Amino acid sequence: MNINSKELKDWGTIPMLSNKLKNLKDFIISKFNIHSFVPEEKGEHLLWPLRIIIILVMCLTLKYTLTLPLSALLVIISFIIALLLVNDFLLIKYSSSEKQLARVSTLTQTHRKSTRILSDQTNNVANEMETAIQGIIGQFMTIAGQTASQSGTILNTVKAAETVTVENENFKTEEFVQSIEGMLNEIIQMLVWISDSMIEVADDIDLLKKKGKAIDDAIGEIDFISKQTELLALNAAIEAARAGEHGRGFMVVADEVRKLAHTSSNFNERIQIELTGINEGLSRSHEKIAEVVNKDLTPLLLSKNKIQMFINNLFLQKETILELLESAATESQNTSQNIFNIVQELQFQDRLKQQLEHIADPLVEIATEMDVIFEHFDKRHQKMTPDLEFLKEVGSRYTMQTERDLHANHLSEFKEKPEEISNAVAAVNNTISKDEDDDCLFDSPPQPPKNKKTCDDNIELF
Amino acid sequence: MSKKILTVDDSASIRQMVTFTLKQAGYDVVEAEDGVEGLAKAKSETPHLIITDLNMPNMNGIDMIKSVRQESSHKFTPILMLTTESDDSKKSEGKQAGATGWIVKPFNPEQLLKVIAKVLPA
Repeated sequence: MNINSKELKDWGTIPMLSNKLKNLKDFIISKFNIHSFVPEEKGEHLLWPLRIIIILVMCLTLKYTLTLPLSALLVIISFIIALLLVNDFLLIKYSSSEKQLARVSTLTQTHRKSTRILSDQTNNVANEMETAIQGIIGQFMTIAGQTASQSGTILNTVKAAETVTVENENFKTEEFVQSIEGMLNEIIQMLVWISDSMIEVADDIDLLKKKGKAIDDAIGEIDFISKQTELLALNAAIEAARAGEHGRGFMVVADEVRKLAHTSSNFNERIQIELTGINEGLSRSHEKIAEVVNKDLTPLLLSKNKIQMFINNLFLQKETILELLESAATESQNTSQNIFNIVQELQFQDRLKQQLEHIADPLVEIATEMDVIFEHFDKRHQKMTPDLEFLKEVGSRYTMQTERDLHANHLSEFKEKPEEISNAVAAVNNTISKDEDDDCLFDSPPQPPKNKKTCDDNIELF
Repeated sequence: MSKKILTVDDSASIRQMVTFTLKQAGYDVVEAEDGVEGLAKAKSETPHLIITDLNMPNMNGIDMIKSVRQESSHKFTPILMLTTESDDSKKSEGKQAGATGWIVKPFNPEQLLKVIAKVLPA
């Protein structure tokens, strides 16, 4: 249907205007399904009986006051009825069209606005959802980064657990454990060998001590010989003195023999002292070796077994830790896989956004079409305020401040009756504020919390 | 040197997801919001591969592919369509325009990487 302002101005006759408006009304009603907004005309059927009663009363009054003939009265009555019929015809036609036109202009004014509000609200939903999804993806990206870092740490730990570094040389943990076991066995074997050798040494010392006793006896004999020799030398000297001049040479020999015996005795004494020292040393060594030999090696063997067990347990624990780390690495990989799955699932937002755009865009197109319709109304009808009750009803459905702000922003464009508009906006806000008593905002200076009431962003305790 | 991939999509979240997936796999990523920006970046950044949406403001994906294919440096550059559109006629339109492949959203990151590995020579 195409109409323009020129056509509207050219609509000269009432039937034409009525017909055009009917078409316009049907067009808008069919397009926006707004039958409920068409007003019903009630009470008109009561008008005519009342009028006839009034006319009859007037005629009877004229007849009895002016004494008019009956024929004149009938003419007057017919004339009045004819006039009323014409008047009603024109009045009803004009009045109904005017009402429809006013209603249609109000509806157009209302819905060109409401469709834009709906479109903006839809776009807001799409944008807010996109922002939220971006935030979620950002968080998942952080988790993915942390998981990758965790996997790297696990791999390094596994590598570190598999090798042992000693003096810049790397050994596999298993080889290292076997090597320690070998070293322990070698140490124990060495100790056993030392113990066995000590027993032999102790036997040798015993033998030496016995031989020392024999030497001691021999020294005693030598000492006896020395003393005898000295005694002989003394006797020889006496005998030489007796022999006088002839024994002088023998005297010298006897004296030398005595000196020799004396020297031998001194030497024997020194040997005796040294031998005693050796014997004492041998005795001490024997005691020490006896201590070593008698030392019980069982605790040492037990310790060796404990160390072996300890190392074996450490090795087993290492194996368990490795298994756990491998399990953790698998978990990290699973987490990465889950994040990929989540990334796929989150793409619902893209589809939803497109679907919302497919709702929002036609709404804007409808609003634009309604703008065109609205421009075709005369200035008197263009000044019609929107259906504030309807807009208030729409606004009362909103539960979030952003939705209400957007709604109020659209309504603030109407300047004709700002008081009514502001009342409508206030009514919307009042309706909603009752539902949001938990909002953490204070209009007046903040009051101390009652009953331990706390306010922390989105949390409030009562 | 890692390969450079241009992702063209009007949806910021899809760009973010594609970038996330590709960077995880070690690619360099350049982003564009629509066909016009995508074409400009295809010329200036000379990516090794282009992933583009179909329905975008200013210039759609198919028009962008046609323009990109006219560039001598991009005659053989693999171009993948990543779109919610799954209509066969649109697919053949994309193929005629010079698209290398067509992936219907939502995409599976692993599958996307597999397809990229297939069309992008090492």
